[in-house]
Amino acid sequence: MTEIIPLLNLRQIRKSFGPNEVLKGVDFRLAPGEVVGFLGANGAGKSTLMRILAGILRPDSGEMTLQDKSHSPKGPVQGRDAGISIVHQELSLVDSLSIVDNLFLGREIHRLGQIRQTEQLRQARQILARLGSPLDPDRKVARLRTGEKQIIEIARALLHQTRVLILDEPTAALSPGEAENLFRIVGELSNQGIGVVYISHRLEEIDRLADRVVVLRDGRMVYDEPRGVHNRAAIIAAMAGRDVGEHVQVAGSANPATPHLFETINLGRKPLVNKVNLVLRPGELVALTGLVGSGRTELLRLLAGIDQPDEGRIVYRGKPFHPDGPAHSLRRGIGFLPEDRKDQGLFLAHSARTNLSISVLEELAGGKGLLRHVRNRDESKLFDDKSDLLGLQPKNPALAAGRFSGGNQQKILLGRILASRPGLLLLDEPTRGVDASARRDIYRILAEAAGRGAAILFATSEFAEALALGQRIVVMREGTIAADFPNTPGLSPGDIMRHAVSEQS
Amino acid sequence: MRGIILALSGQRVLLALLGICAVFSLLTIQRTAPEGTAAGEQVARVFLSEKRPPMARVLVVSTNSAEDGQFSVRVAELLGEQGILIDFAQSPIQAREAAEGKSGPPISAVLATGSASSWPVLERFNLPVLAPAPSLWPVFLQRSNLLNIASQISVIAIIAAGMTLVIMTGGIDLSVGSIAALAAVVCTRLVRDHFGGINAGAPGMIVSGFAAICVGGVVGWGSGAIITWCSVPPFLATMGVMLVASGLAFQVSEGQSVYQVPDAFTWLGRESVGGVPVVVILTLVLYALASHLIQSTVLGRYILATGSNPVAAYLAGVPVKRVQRIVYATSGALAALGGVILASQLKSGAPTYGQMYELYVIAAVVVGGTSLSGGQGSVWGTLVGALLIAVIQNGMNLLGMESYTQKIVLGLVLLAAVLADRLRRS
Repeated sequence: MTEIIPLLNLRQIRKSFGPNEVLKGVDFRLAPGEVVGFLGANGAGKSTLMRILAGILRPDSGEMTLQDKSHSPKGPVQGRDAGISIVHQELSLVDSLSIVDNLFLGREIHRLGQIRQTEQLRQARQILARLGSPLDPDRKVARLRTGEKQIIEIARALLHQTRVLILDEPTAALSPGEAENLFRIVGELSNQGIGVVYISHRLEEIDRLADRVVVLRDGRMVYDEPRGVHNRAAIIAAMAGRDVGEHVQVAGSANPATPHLFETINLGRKPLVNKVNLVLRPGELVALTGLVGSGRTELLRLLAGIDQPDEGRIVYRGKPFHPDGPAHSLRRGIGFLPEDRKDQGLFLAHSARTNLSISVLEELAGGKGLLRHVRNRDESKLFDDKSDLLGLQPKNPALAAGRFSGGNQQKILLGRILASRPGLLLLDEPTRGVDASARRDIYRILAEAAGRGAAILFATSEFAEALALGQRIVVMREGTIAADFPNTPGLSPGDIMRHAVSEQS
Repeated sequence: MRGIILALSGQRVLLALLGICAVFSLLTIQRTAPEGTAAGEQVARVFLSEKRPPMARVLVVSTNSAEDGQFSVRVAELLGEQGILIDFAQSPIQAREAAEGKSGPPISAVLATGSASSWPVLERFNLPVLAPAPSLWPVFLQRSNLLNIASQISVIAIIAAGMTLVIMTGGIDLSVGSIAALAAVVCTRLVRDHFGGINAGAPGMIVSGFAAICVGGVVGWGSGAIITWCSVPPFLATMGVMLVASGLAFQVSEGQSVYQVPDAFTWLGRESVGGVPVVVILTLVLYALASHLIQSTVLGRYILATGSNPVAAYLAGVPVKRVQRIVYATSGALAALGGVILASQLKSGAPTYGQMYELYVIAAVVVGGTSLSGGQGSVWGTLVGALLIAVIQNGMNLLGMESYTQKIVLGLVLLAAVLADRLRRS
C-alpha cells in the first residue's frame, strides 16, 4: 500500500514553542485508504502535529503535500477545505441545534440567502445512511449519546469531502457496542479511499484496525512498521524510550507498618473514576501517573473534596471522611494544587504576597471571622518565611503573580498550600511548564515536606518524573488503578507504559 | 490619613476631577458680592476705617433671609464694640421710618446687604450707602454651590460604595434604585402608621430608618442567594429583584407619596453639624469603613480574590458563595440607606425614587477605576468617580446647558472611563 502515491506526505516538520522544541523534524506519509495507528506518550508531540495538519498551528519549517499539492493551510477553515478533518475527544457540536444544522453549520446550502432545508435533509440522510446510522437528522444534538455525537462529527467530516480523517482517542467515551460500530465505519471509510490517522492508547484497537503503526516520541518518529510486523512489546518500548530521568533523591519507602493516613475504598465518580482503592501513609511521596484521559486529575479532585464521589468511601486519619468542598478539606489538612495554575490557581493581577496568604488569612488574622484585620506585618513575615523555603525569584512580595516565571508561579502556589501545614498534599502536575532549575527546587520542596511527615500524592504525565520522585508509583488506566508498586532502581518508563496502555478489550 | 492621600494620589480620576473643577471655575467666574457673615464683616470694616464721625449712628438694612440675618448680626457685633448706635430695618418701610425718625444723633450711613442695597428708597435719604463690594469669583466655587454638590451626590455615593464591593467580586447589582425606593416608602410608612406620623419622635424615626435598611439588606441577600444557589448570572438575578423591589415599593406605598412625617425627619438629609451636612459626614465615614474593609480585612481579600479568579479562590478555600451573599446584602443595605436619605431630603417617601440610580451608581464605580471584570479597584476611586459625575452635571447646569446635551456628555465620560479600563488591561 505504501508504494502508491501518498495521499499525505510530511517532510521534516519542526515546531518550537519558545525554547521548547516539540517537533524535531517529523516525516509522515499516509496512503489513500490507509489506516495508521498513531501512538505516543504524553507530550510526545502528537497533538501539535495534528494541529499543524489541520491548520490550527503553522510549522516552523518542513514541507507538507496533500495529493501532490503543497499543503500549507493558514487556518482551520483552510485545513478543512483542503480535506483534513479532526474528530477530537472533546466534541465540537452545538448542543442546541439539530443534527442537520450541525452537519451544515458554516456551510449551509442556500439560494438567495434562504437555507434549502429539504436539500440539506436529503444529504444528511444520505450521509448518515452511508455510516449505517439510523439517527433522524431533525433530532437535537443535546439528546444524543457520546457515540452518536461522534458519528455526527464523522458525518460532518465526510460532508466536507474529507480525504484525511484524524480520530483522536475516539473510543475513550464509547460503549463496546458503539466502539464496534465505529470500527466498522473506519473500515468503510478506508475502502472509500479516505486516509485515517487513528490515535489511541488501546493496543487491541490498533492491532485490529491499523495497516501500519507509527510511534512519536520526543518530537521524532521512532517507530514505523506495517501490519504483521509490528508487535506490542516493541511499540511499548518505542513509546517509553530507554532514558530514565535522573533520580532526584534516594527513593526510600515509608515503613509499611506506619498506620494509613488516607485510604479510599472502591471510590468512584462516573464516568472517569471507577473503584479506586488507594492507601497513603505519612511521609510517603507517591506518583500518580497514566496516559491522558486515564482519570488522574479526576481522582485527585475527588480526593481533594472538590467533586463528590458517587460510590465508595474515604477513611482519613482513621475516621470516615466526607468531602465537602476545598475549604473543608483545607481545614482538615488536605491541600490541593490544581493542574492549571493560571486558570485555577493564581490571582494573576494580585501581589505574590496576597497570592501566598489567601488560604491562611483567618489564621493570620488571629481566628475565625471575616471582619478580622489582616496585618501587613504578619503577611510579610509569612512571605519571607515561605519565599526562603521555596527559593522564590524575584523575592518581591508586591510584584503581581502574573509577572513571575512559570516555575516561580508554581512555587507561590506550593507556598500557599504549605502555609496551611497540610498532612496530605494532592498535587496535579506540579512541574508542568516549569524550567529545569525550578523543577529541581520543586522536587526538593516536596521531598522536604514528605520528610516532615506529610503524605504527598502527585499526578504526573511524565513517567520519567514518576520514577525520579516517587517512592511508590500508582498507574491509572481508564479510571481505575492498573498498578501500584514501589519504585525500585532499575525500573524504566517502559515498565510504567506496560500498565498504562490497555492490552485487553 | 496618609493611606487615604496615597490612595487618592494614585488616581488618574482624581486628576481628571481637579481638572474639570478648574475648567468650571474659570467658566463660571462672575462678579458676585459676598453674603452673610463675610459680607457683614466687610461692610462693617469699610465703615470703621473710612467714615467714622464721633457719636455715629448707622442704619442696617437687610431682607429677612437667613443669610441677611447673619449679615446684620455680624455688623452689630463689630460696630457695637465701638459704641456706635445701630438701627435695623428689614423692609423699605421700616428703613424710611428709621431714616425719618428725629430723635437721637443723625444717621451717618446706611449699611445694606447686597439684596437690600438695590431698594430705591435708600436713594432718597441722601446718605452714603455701604454695600458689599462685588468681586470676581467663580459661582462654581461658592461655598453654597460646593455644599449643594456634596449633598446631591451623597446618596449616589453611598449606594456606589456597596456597588463597588459587588463589582469587585465580578458581579453587578441592578436592583439598588428599586431598593432605595422600597426603603424610602417602608421608612416613611412606619413613621406615619406606627410612630405617630407628624408627631413622631426621634426614637420612632430611628427605628423606622433601621428597619428600612434591614429590609434592603434582606432583599440584597436574596439576590446573593439566587446568584449563588441557583447559579443565575448576577445581571439577570438582580434585574428580577429590581422589578420585584419596585413592585413592592408601589404596594407598600399604595402607589402614593407618603409625606406624613415630622419636620425633624429632614435632619439626616438637610441638616449640618459644624457647617458640614450630616450626609457628607456619613458618606465619608462609610467610605473610610469600606476602604478599611477592602484593604485590611479577611473579607476584603476574599472579595478581591473572588473577583480576580473565582475558581482559584474556591480551590484556595475562600468561601466564595458566602462572600457573594455578603456583598449583595451590603449593597442592598447601603441602597436602602440611600433611600432613607432621599426620603429625609424630600421629606416624603415615594415608590418612584431612585429610578435610573443603578446606572449612575455603576457609572460612578466604573469612572472611579474599578474594573467591571472584578478583582481590582478602589473604594475611594468610586467616591471620586461619583464626585466627577456630580461636578460635570453641576457645572453644566451652571453654564445653562440643556439636559439633552448633559446626557450626551455624561455618556461620553462613561465610555471614556470604560475605554481607559480596557487600555490599562491590555
